[in-house]
Amino acid sequence: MNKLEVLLSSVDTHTVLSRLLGTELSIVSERYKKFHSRLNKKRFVVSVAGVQGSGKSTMLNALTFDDSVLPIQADETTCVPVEIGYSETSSGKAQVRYTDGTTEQIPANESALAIFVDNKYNPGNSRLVDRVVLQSADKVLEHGLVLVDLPGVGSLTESNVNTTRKYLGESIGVIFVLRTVPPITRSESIFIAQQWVQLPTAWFIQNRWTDETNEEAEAGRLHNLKVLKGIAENNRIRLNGDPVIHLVTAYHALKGRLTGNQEETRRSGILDSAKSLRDHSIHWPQLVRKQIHESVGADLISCTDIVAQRMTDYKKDKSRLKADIEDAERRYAQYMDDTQSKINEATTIVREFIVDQKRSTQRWVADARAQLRNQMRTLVRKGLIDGPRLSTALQEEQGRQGENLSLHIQEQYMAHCDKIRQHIAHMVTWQNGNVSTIGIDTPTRTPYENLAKPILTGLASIGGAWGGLTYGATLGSAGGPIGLIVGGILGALIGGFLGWGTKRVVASHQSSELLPKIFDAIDHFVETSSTDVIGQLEKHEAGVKNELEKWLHSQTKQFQAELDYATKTMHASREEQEAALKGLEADELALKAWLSDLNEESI
Amino acid sequence: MNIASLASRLLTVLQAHEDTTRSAAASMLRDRIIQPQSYVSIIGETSTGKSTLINCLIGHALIPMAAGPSTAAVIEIILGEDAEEKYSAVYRDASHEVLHADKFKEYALMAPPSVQRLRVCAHTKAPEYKGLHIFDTPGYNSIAQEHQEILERFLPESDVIIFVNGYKSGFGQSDQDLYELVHEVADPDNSIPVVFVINRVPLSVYPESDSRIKEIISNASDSLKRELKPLIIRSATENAVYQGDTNAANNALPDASVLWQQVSQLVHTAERKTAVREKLKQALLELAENADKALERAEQIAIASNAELVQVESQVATLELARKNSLSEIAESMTRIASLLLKVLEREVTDIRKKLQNEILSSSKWLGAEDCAIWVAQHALPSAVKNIAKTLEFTIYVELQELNEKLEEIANTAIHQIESDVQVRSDASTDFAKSLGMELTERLAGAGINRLLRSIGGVGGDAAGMGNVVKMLSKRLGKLVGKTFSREFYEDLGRMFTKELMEKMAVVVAVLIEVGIFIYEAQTWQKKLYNKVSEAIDEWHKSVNESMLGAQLNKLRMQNEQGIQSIYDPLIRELLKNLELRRTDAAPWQAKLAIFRAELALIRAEIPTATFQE
Repeated sequence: MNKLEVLLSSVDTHTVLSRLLGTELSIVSERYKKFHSRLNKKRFVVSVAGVQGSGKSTMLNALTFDDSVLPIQADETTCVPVEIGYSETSSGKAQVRYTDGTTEQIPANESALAIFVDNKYNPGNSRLVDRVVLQSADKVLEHGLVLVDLPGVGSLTESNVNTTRKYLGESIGVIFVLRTVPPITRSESIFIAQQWVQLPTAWFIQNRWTDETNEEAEAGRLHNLKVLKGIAENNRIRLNGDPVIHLVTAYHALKGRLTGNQEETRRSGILDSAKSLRDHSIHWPQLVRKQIHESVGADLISCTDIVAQRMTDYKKDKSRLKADIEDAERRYAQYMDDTQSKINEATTIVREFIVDQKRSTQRWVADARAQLRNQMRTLVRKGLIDGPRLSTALQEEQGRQGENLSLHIQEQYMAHCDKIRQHIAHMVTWQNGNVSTIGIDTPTRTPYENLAKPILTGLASIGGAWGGLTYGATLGSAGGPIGLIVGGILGALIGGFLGWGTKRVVASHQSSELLPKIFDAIDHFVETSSTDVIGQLEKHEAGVKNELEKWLHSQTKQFQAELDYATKTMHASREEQEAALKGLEADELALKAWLSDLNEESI
Repeated sequence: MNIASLASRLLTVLQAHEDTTRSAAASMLRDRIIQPQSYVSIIGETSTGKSTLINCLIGHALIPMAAGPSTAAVIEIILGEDAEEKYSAVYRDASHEVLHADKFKEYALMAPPSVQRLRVCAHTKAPEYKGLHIFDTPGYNSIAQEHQEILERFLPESDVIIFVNGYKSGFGQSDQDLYELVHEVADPDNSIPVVFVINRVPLSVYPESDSRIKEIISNASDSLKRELKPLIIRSATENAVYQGDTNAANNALPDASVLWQQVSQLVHTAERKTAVREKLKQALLELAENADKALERAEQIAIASNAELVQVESQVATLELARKNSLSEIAESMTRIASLLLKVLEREVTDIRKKLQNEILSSSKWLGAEDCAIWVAQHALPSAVKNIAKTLEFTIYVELQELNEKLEEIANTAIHQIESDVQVRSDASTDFAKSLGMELTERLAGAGINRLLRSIGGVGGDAAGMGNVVKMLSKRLGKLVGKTFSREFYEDLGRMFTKELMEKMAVVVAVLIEVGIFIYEAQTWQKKLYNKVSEAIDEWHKSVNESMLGAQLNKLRMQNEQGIQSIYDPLIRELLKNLELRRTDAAPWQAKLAIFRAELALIRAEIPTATFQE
């Protein structure tokens, strides 16, 4: 076993850290157990995103299977998450996991899977499937890469939105499957921006259908490139040069694979993407190891500082110590004032955003209602009085109006999240009387920083006194409060806009009776839509508030622990003092030894 | 000190300095300070009685009341103190011609295409109506097709818009189209006060319970996207007709005093007065400061050493190069956009053709040939066009975003070069470079006085300087250069394209409906209808291609080029002129500049505490 593993599983280490940090042993052990299992768990989830008709399923089949396994239906969307992981021997089975926890084995082939993942056979996920798990022996997955085909935004339902969010939370990268014709649209660009900001490690695969000419492919690629550069620019995503767009003919890739025609596979362009994915996955375990190594190192150094501080404290005379405590209290009060006012500012930013968006939603209600009513008036005036056709027209126009609102709010939301991130990045944590900024959210977002999130989420959820330990570039990253606050909102809007309150109007053939009925349906639509959006906004506000308060609470707790120890030190008898010093010396030795062990295993 | 006389003094200095653009701005500000102007537009379909309402205010039949439908001109009525009425025509090339009363009446009914608008200076005794400009506009077809400039430049800067609906004709499709158009183009954010008139309401109608009035209000409110409370104007002819007095019936003017009182209240609110004064004062101060900076630069050139003059020459070269590079970027970008749009449109058209074919062929053979035709013409096609418009918008947006970045980079490089590449190390030349860089930055941002200067500096044509001064001065200028890609811009772009595409669609759709009515044979109508639809799409495609590559792209190109010119040209001109003056008669010029600056310093010091004369 390596030194890092030894440290992670050493009860001694857990005990010392727990004692010095004033945190329950079980919490420390749990954290290190998580680190330990993360080290050994070769699982790197990359989610795959793409709109209808992008060829996402074809692409995934071509990347991972020798048979066509995932249902390919251009018109339908995947309605449940499908996970594809590695197994040396393919069982030919797929596992269906239901939301109630039960599972079922089904044959891993297109028709069997379609029943569960295809919207046509499982409309709105009425079968309550949580996910489908597949295995493949393909080399691309060999190093722990797990590809997850997530339901499209439009097909999220209550029963799969949580799984989808969980996968997104676990993801360390994302593959966007782009189209050639049409290239990235405005709504697609917002979707990409939202995910890319969260997951800077991104692959862009532009699928080209066989009827698309070279000229179209190049024009599409140029457009896509410009859009992606714009997104990166607007969202401070750091790029080394231009984003890479892999041009792939998924159909040829799949056909080449199914027929064993290597030349066709090669010409499809898929090998580059596969290689890039595989190369990353080879690299990942090392990165994970490095980050855990750094976290443990940070823990140990932090404890060494505490020991040194305490030893000095014990050696101080009582009046000096008292003065120091008073000084710390003063500084802490000042710190609390500052922090509180920063939190207030952040809350104000959120409040203002919510008020603004509510106002524009309300304006949308009035405008969309008026617009729809007039459009329907026009149709009826021009002689369109066929009920079903009017209904269809109304639904299409409602969709358009709904999209206006949704795009508007999402764009505003992106800008708002950026603002909040900037704000929180300047807040500081309290630790042993020292303050350091909690934010890593430097002006740019770098690929790989997102690795820290799934690896270290345990840390953030431990909370409490551990908050004080989250210093240093790695730990403070997405695992810290910023990741929680802003990242926690990821998906607040995904999953939103599900139930655009469309209602079919069953209309008679008399236009005098027709319009009032249509107007009722319009009222229903605008009201349910705005209620939905306002609900999402309020959820966001509550979420941010809650996280900030939790974080503030953890700071107080941290300070209280320090204060308690200092008070204890002050009131200690000579014997107690000596015993404590002896204990601290032992701790110091142990910490030193562990640190040198850790350093031996330099990465 | 009185602010009007400060404005006059500023004007005198600028004229003496031969600074034509800033003089024009000062002159406009001065006129506004002396006589506040208000702009009121009247919108309504033909025969809703708009002209009659204006005649009520004047007290006699100033404007012919039976204006023909689609050829009518826009008439601007300016109320002032002169007892004699004066008529003139304003041409599209911004020239004016004085007209005889007869000629005016003739033009009012049918104006030659070169006329942009007719103008009448009329007399009013009431002080509250002095300085009022009323724009009488023609109905939907005419304004949508012939009066783009009015829609885009005058209406948005109105202080009040009056919408007039005729009770008898009710609220029809053309009313809806007109109101929606005005709302979309002129006032999408409902920032202009609106008066909604239901005109010629018979005496027997009780407005509170009348269902037609209710319907009109509901439809008008939906079209303008705001709650409307109507002003009911009663029919004036009823009594005369009843009494058989033909003469009285023909000349009867209704009582519209309530309308004009309301308008007067809206343009004379205390807030508006304060806001206008605040803006005027601020604009005057900014103009004086901006002029002083220019004079300071001139002074620096006047006393510059030879080495410093060489430096200035190289700065001119930097600006010229930046300008040239920007223009060639624009040209390249426009060529690319043109070819992209052609391709995207081609592709989208193929798509809708396929979709509509499915739609038509899959509808039941035995019923509803006519229904299907209406459906395709009134919904399916327009809906497809809206989607196409969105795709085109986004394509242009992506390209313009790239162009914007390139232009910004060129400008920033120029600024950087001017500021850092100072060969001659002296305080004066460093200050000079900084001042130049600052001026360029301000022009790039299109803020404050630069907007005013730009609108006066030729871009605005005849419409420049017209309209609501508060709106004019506070609107952002930086549309295409600077921090430009705001939602505002995106929506403008959208309006521009969608509107054009929809209008072209409306033309071909009109043909389709006729076709729908004549095809009855159950076995063959689908194919026939599809063929007609396909022809309509072709025709549309062709006309959109032409207009997109022609007028629309040209407009885009011009906006961009003018943006670039308004950034670089005035600076280049200023520097070249100063260099020339320095070479020809440096000493007297220097003395003059000193006097100008001393006077400007006095003016600037006094503006903040200056007062408006009541």
